[in-house]
Amino acid sequence: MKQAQQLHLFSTQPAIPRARVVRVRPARPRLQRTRRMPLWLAVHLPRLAIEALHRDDPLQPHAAIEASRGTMRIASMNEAAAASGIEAGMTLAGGWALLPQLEVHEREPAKERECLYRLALRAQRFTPLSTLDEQAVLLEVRGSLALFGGAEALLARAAEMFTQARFTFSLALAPTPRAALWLARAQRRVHVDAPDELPGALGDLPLAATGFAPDVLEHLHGLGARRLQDVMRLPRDGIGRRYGARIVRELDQALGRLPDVRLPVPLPKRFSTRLDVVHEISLTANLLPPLGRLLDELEDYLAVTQQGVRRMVIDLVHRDRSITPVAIGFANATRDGRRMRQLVEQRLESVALPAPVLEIGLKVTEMTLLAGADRSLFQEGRGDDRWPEIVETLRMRLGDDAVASVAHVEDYRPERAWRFVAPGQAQDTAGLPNRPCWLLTPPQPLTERRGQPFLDGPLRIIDGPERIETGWWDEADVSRDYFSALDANHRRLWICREVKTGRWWWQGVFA
Amino acid sequence: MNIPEYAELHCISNFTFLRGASHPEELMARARELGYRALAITDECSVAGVVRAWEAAREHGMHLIVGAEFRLEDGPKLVALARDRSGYNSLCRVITRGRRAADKGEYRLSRADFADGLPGCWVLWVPEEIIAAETAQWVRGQFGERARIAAEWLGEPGREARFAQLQAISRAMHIPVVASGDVHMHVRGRRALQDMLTAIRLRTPLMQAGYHLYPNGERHLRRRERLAEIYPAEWLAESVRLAQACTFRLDELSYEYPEELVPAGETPASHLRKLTEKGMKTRWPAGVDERIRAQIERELALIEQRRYEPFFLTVHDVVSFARSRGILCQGRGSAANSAVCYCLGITEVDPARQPMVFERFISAERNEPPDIDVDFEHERREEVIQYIYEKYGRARAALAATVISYRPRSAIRDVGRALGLATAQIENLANAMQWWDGSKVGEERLREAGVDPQSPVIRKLIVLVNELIGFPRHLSQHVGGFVIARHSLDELVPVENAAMPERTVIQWDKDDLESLGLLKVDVLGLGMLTMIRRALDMVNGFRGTNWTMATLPGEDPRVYEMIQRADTMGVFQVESRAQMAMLPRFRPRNFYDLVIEVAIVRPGPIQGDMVHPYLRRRSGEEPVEYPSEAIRSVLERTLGVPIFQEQAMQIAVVAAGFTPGEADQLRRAMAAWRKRGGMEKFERKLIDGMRANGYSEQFARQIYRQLQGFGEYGFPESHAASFALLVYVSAWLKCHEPAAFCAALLNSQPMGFYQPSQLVQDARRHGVEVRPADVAASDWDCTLERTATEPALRLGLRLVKGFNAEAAARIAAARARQPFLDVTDLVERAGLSRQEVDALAAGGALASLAGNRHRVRWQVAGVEEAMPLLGRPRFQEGEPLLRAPTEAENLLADYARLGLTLGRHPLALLRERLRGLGFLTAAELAETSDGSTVRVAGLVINRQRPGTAKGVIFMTLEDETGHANLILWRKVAERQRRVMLGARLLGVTGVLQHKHGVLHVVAGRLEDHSRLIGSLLTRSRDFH
Amino acid sequence: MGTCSEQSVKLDSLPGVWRAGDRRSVSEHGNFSTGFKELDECLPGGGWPLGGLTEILSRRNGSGELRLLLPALVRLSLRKGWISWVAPPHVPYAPALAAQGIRLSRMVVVRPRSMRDALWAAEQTLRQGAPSATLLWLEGGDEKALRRLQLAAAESGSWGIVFRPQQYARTSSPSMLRLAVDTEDDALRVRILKCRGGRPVEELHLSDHARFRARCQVMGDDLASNAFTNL
Repeated sequence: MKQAQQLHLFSTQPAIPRARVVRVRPARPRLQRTRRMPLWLAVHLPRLAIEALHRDDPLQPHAAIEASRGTMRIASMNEAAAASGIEAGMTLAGGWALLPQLEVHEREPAKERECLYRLALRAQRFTPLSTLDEQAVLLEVRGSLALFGGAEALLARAAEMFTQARFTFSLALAPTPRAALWLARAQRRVHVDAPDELPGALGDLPLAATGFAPDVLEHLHGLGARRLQDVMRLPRDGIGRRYGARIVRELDQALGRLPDVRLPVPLPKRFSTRLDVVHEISLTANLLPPLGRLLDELEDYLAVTQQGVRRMVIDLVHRDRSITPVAIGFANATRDGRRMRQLVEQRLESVALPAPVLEIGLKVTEMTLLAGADRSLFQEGRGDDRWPEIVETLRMRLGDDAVASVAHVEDYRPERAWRFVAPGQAQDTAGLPNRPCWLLTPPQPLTERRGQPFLDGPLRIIDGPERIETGWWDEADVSRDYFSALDANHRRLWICREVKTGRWWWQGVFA
Repeated sequence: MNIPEYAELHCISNFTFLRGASHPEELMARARELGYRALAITDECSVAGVVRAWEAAREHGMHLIVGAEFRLEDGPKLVALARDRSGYNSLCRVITRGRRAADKGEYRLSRADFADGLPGCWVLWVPEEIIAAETAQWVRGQFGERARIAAEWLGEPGREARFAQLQAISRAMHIPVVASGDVHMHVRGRRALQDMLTAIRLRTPLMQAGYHLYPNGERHLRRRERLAEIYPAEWLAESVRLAQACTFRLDELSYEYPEELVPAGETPASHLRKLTEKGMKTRWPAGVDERIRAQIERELALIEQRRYEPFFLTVHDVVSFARSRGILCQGRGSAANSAVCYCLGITEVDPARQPMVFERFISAERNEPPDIDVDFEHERREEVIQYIYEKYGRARAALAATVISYRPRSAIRDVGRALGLATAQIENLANAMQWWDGSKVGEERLREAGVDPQSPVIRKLIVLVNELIGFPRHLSQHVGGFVIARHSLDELVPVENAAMPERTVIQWDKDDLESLGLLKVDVLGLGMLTMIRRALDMVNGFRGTNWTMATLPGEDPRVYEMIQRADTMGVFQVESRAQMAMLPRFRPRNFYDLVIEVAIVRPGPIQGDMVHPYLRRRSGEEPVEYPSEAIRSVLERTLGVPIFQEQAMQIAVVAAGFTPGEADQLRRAMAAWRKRGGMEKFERKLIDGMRANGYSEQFARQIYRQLQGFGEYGFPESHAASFALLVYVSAWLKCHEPAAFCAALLNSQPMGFYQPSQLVQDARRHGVEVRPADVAASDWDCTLERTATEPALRLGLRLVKGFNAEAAARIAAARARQPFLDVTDLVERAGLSRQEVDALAAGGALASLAGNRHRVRWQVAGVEEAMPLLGRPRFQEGEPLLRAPTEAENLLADYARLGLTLGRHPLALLRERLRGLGFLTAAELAETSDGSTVRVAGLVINRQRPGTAKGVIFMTLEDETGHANLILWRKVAERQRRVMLGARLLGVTGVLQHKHGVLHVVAGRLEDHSRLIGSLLTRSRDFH
Repeated sequence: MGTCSEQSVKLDSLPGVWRAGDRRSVSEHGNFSTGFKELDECLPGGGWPLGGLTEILSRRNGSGELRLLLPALVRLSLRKGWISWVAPPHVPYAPALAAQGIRLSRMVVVRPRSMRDALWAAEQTLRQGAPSATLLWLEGGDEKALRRLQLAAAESGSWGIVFRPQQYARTSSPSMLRLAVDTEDDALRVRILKCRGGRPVEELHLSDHARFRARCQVMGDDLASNAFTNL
């Protein structure tokens, strides 16, 4: 299939092998005890910091950096960078000394949270209890085992999902969320089924897998403790007094001796997602693979929320932040991925790209509970003020572009000192004196007679010049002298002369 | 038609930081081109740029007016212009007042600060758009006849109405109008840079700077034709009238020394003579050699002729204070090594001991103020600074400024940010500039970094960065250059606050001071002096001797033998790899050899290719020839090779016909060319001059290249002599008192090239017994302990990571009363916090109290903080199951927490395995012959990339027997970059170079064996 | 231009800006001040009539019609009223409008493709109710269309302003108020063609004396203010 091919082409990252599950011990029948015991799947994302920012260019070394105590340090790196010896904690200078072609991105914790959150949402297809921890997604899957055909099959499906999403990850299954998390962090692909297997399985882990604070880890190291079992051999009260109750609590939680309550991530009320494109895309056909990923997310979301999409907008964002919106409507609400893809593909064929695309956004503008009645997103504004409703009515009939507000942009170049924005989105500002209420777009050329500008008669200059000479930074440097002039009808016009060419233009009316 | 005359009276330079977009020199040159009658430099509340402007004005024959612009908190914008010296004084006073009232880099002035009416200044009032009559009245009332209304039309709408308005106010208030231009740049073309500066100042991307930018580029020096179109002739004429009345010239300023140093009834000359005579008696109790006496007389005569007595008295006063406090100090600089300075105690370099000709350093024809920098123990320099402030008062003493300018990296960062590039992209770009090799950003570099130099954004970036480089960013304080005035300093130059509280700096830097012939005293800090003082104190305390720097036995052959062996780890100046490699070939035999050694192994002489000719001539491999007698007289003492800065200047005089003044300019150009360029004009002159005097082109070129090489790094002979003394003293200590030497070095860390670990190992190799840091015996500092024979070195608690001096003092005090029983007793009696006691435990300093490290740490962590009233609770708790640490664990912990170990060297533990891999020890290398292929492995303790050797990297490996020195050629290094930079335990296969007793391994293949040592934390000092 | 906002601010500080219960009110929705004293005096209710159409006729766009309206629009803006610009002949220039005191956040520009759409859009916005103003530019338009708008405005009590070319002065119109406007040497010349509840006025000159005042404000000093009378 065309689609499958494209997805494949896009997925240049070497496929991560399916998780191979090693059972710690063959589960003996222990029905009474394990039946109600939860089973947690932890998915640890060791490279989240970089992968949240960048995961499309696996052959190039990339790293996420962050400032720590005044120096830039490597926070995380992709496989290519790691293979060249880049390590977390290195200074940026050190990283570059090692690998001059290393490309770096500044770490964005918000994006990391967003990534985790989105992954957790998508993982709700496996279980309603999907939640987050540090660099990890945690899923309670006991109830889903039967549905997916056992732990093996479930793990394979989960691995498939994370591989498709192009994250580096490690998986582990354990009866407590914390044990699963620690096992996943230590990259032990194990399946611990029963709580009494936990001490054995955890004891062998290196201490770092616990994520205890660095000073605690350092101190434990100073006692000769290298693995979790070394800590488990120390007196409990002694540990508590030395390292705080939290450590004891976490150990107990990991071992299932204390409850560890986790709440599922909340659902978003609206669906809106976006994706940076690494290499600018100039052909619409090339938009399909990245769009496919956004549609995957949408599909998951719709499945979880039991909704169907009616209208959605794909925003194609260009380098200058201008947006080409592509609206897509469905006659009947749907959550069928295949149908959405087909329609998107058709719709894109008719889109002409004015400039290459750097970023793609996908937002649903209308959704419906698939079983229930229509629910408009625009009904929220209702109250005494009927304005939003009227604006929406106008936009429905005249088109979105035909209804707008004008905003003031701080720029001396008159033609750039304003722009259309969505209705009501303009800021109230102080404005600029000596400017006309009407702006001609585009300005009209004026003729010159006997050294005077001319428009159905000579124009009488009554003020000026005002020199405007700026804008070199965005390829639209201007150098003009502006005048107020009266025309034959006593209208006060705003005209200018280009300094370089001496040409006259009419640009505004004071009205 | 006659173009009206004009003088620009309102013009800021780039010393109005991040606003002015042209250098003062550019403004002057442009004003001259346009035929302006005068140009005022009126930086905002600053005169920091006027000295540069003045130099340019002299060069172009322009009339410079000194002024400043002020924005008052409660009122108008004013421009003050100094008419005469009194006006200049008022200007400096009001700037000082404004600057001192605000944080560093800012100022704060209000109308009240102008209550004195700025006598001697013209005051231009730059009216705001809406003018309050009350402001006009204040201006008129405050400044009277000296007030003017500045009419500035900069392309705004409504010019005629505005001018009419100003005219009306002028008539009503009787304040004449003068035309001015609010100039921010010398040409319109700087508009982009000016916008850029605004964006940088506001820390906002340009695209978002909006109306904070100027709407146009009118704020440049406009053509007089255009000005004539804009302004009424009378207003233009007024500018010239005001300018003509400004007669103040910067060279009227002269420095007046403090008077209080001369007692009543004495003249400065008689007092200096008296002090010198007194010093002679101390220095030479047995009587003065005739030659020396004659020398002193010559010097005194010269000083008197130049009236430099107060300067010498000032330095003497500062040095005497230091001596009275037991602070070690040593003068250097052109005048420091005179016989007079020796008598005054400013230097310890004994003229009787050294075959040097001292009048070289002060000469009548060199119209240059004497230069004396005094180094003090770095930890006690602050006392000296406080003494100066106290003695002369803050009004009379301040530090010189250092102008911090844009460098390529900072320029790229700021420009990149303003152009809206992402942080990471900017870092990528800045990284491309990593191996910076000129003063301009090159396109190739960018292309190498994968940046397209043709993309519009990058093209703009390159242009702007190139313009911005060299622009001043802010004033900082000079490290220690003091200016002390007889009267209030703020009449000479404005004083402002520095970043450090209680520090004040003047608005001029050392070049400015030099241009105006003003004197400064450099009060600098030098770690080696701290180390020497500590070592001498320890030795004197231990042995009951009374050594000082001056009385240590001179020219001790054992000391020179040690230096010749390059056994110089820790010795001042000659401990670097480059120096150590040189010593066995150079084989210094006497003090003057040390002087040359110090001066020659510097980037300048190395780049100028002086080292090898000198060594060949010294060893007789190459004949010593002089192209002329004149050259011989200059270069004889250095075998025909120019090594010192003075020699360069003398050659220019005797061989190329420079006047002493020109030679002096040459010297300054040499010091600055790397930063600013400007050597070219001397190149032609020097080479032509030498050709004219019959020297070959080749010889002339060689001399020029050598001079260029001096750059910022060249050493004057007098500096070298002062440093050589410290070399000798520290070498003497290392040779005769290795325990005290090592202890003092450890106590003065961080300092020098080596880590405590290497210093301690070196001491042990020299037979010093080193005892561990232990709460039962150690102080904060390392100390000497008595043994049957030589002193033992007891490591101090300062080596324990995370510990502090106050706690160490409490331990020593508690221990003096009674030895500690156990850890709890220690914690209680010494009042230690948990962190403190844990640091001691981790560092192994509790071993004598509590057994193995693992148990100690557990135990210590369980000691509760004392609670008021209840005291310290004791708990009964279960026994922990803890293993005893292994030798390797102990060793690793030692490294981690102390930075060194007294146990076996980590490599000793690995030796069997290393041998299995075919590695020799460092000691075995010494018995291997030149040219053999060898394998050696060791901990990487040092990586250096000298600026001089292109791409070559030096590394030092350490094993249990000593050090192996590696040379990595560029290609080898590039290819194995990862191992080279990443390995902590490095194995090398290479070819042994074994010449003149120097061992190097020219590296071929590198192997990373770090995993053998686990997490052994050997930090190496990279790329110093 | 500076005058308009200046005056409007002054007027706005007067009590009863929305003169709903004004003694001379004829419109059931009230009128409010135009910002020009002379004009207010000529209008029944002492200002622009709300709940209906005001028609402004001019020879060409830009002959002072915005200057005439701005004081009222600014005040409407201060009350957070919405202003809809339907089918304006040029771009309403944000920096200038903001400088006058118009709240850009409460302004909507509608650019329909046809006159039919324009009339439809204006009708929608007029239904929105007070406080709001709908400005509509028409090249033509028949009486029937205007009547629909007049009705919509009357129902909701909002203010509709229709700009039409001068030649429609002779055609009949359902508007409550019809004005012809022109400029002459910086002064506004206004003729009241039709005024429900009032009578037509031949000619009114509305000038702004204080054009330079903002730029040359000298406070309370005789000498200096003397000086400025020379201007």
